[in-house]
Amino acid sequence: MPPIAILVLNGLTAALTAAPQITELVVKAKDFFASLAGNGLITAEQQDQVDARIDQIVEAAKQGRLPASWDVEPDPE
Amino acid sequence: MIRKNRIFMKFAKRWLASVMLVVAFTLTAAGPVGCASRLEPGGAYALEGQAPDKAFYAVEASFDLATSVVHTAFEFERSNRLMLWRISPDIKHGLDKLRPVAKQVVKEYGVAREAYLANPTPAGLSTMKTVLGRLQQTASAAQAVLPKE
Repeated sequence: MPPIAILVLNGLTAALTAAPQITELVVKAKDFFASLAGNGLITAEQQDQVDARIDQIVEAAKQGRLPASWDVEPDPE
Repeated sequence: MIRKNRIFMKFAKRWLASVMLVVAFTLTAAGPVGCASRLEPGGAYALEGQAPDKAFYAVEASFDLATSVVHTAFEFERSNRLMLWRISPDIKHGLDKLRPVAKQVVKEYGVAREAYLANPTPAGLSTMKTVLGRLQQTASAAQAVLPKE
């Protein structure tokens, strides 16, 4: 794995303490960089996971079911 | 309260630095996936009896990551809304401008993806890349809105 990828992963891991919300992002980023810099093989499982996640989000967008954080909500008082 | 704010900002700065790196990688990722990696047969992008579609996978993986960056920024702001509102109302207002854009871009990507799956042509892939570029811009803009100091 190239040094820059290790640097990125270290930064992401450190940031775990800052915001639990980024856990999912870190996992995806790790998968992503592993597929870039590992043995060069993107496994069938990794492919299926990407495909399933994209299916899920485009379907949610189509049906107006994206997470609440994507909605514009009233300003706090 | 001041101490709490300082601690929060320290964490927020670390978080932002990490997201910035992810976004930077996302912006340049489509190429390296296509060139250096190979797809294991049997996966969604390397179906049996068909040539593996590395270019399609590269766009999809980049879109997946860009979506995560945008989602994380929105979630982060929503989960810490009161604290960030006290720092500056511009943070919420800035992200509020991006929220409908992100929704629209994801919808457009879905349409472009469906068209590509029905008829996988270079032009179709190019449309997907264009939409991906817009999501990546949205991700960068979301990151720019969040506090840095």
